[in-house]
Amino acid sequence: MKLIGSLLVIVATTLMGAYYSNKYKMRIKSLLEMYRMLQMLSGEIEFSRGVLGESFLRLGNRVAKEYQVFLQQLSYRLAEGNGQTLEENWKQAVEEHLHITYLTKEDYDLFISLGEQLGYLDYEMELKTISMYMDRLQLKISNLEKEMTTKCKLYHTLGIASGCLFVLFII
Amino acid sequence: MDRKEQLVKIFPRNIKEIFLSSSLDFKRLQEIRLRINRPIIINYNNKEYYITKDGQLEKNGDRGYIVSRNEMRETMEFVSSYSLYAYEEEIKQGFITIQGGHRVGLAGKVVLDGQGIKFIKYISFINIRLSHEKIGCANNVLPFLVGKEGIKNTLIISPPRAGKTTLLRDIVRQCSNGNDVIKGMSVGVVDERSEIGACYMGEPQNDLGIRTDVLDSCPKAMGIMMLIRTMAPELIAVDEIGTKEDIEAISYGSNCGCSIIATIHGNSLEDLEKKPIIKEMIEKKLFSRFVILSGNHSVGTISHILDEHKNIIYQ
Repeated sequence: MKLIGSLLVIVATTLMGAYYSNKYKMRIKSLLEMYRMLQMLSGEIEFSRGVLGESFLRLGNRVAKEYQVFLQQLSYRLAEGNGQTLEENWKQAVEEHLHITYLTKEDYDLFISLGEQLGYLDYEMELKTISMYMDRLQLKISNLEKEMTTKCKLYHTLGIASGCLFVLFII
Repeated sequence: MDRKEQLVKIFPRNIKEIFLSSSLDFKRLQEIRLRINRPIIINYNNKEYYITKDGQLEKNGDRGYIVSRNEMRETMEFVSSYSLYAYEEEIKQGFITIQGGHRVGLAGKVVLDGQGIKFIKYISFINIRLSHEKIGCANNVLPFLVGKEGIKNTLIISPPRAGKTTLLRDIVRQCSNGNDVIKGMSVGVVDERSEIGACYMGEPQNDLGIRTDVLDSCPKAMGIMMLIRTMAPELIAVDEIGTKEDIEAISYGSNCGCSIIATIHGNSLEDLEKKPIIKEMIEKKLFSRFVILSGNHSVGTISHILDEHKNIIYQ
């Protein structure tokens, strides 16, 4: 009975370690998707010079599922003319429709702050602002990727080790 | 969407509330002026008023609602559908046309580059001129412009704000749709300043008829050539001609078998003949009808119509 219990504890903590390791990898994947979305937005502005609402709607069909609803809902909000600024609409759309569990508060804050800058800039500045955010995102992704092997190993090891330690402590 | 809804959409919350709570008849509202740290001024029924926080019209500026810098910025966000960069070309010209055909005039700090105006930043003065269509205002004029071959080349001469564009718009609409006076024909409009059709995202907000094609924001001379080559119009309409290139393009269009209707700033034919380019155009008999509008009466009032020999055929 003790053996079965111990094994269950070790399996559970190992799985927890694997979960955190996977979460780390998925965070990088989500940030890469965010980067790709900004790249497409920049392209839309550069080549079509259409209004943001239309660009968001078009992008909504081309981005990963996790960003799709956010872009579409933001586009609808802008089209209805609800008397809110882009900053307010962007923030609310992020809070209501962007639920990516792998992203941290820091990632969300960076994304929300982009909405504070868009909407009232000239062509050059609009593109430069998006480009600046892409650079920041790129830096963040590079740092996370650099630490990925170490961190993932750490999560796995900690998972197993904490399980073993817990079992030893109880027995 | 009605006129009121179209308009209030471009204002930030407080100003929107003011207009929604007012008892204004938006059909009689002509102009709304926003200036940074100054009261909102409106032109209503040909009279100037201030508008208070609770939507009341006042003659006294002390109670007028003061527009803040932030509200000015927000207004620009809404006017440009949150995309000021998409309207750079329009901003360079000093105005943006919004849904409903209303024209938003802009002023602020002008940024120049080697070729001229690059952009206007710190936009601090906004003048919203509400679009007014006068359906049927060309009813009395049209019979004098129609000949055996269709519509005659016509020049509408008028001082500013006397209704030349309004009249031109109605002539275009009637020629395009056709009626008892004239058979419907394909009409090409070169709308350099977006005043005739007031296009919003390419779609005319004013009724220009069922057979009308519009080249929006296109220079007149270039647009006339393009329309002739691509859309085969029977009639071409342009607003506010005046340059040598305009006259050459009109002459080309006329030689291609298109009728031309144009407007020009001026008080009379004699007044126009003082300008050498225009004098030459009149002498060449490029136009067979001259419609002179009166600036002293209500918008669109005809003073007289002359034929190619300068004989009065309507007064």
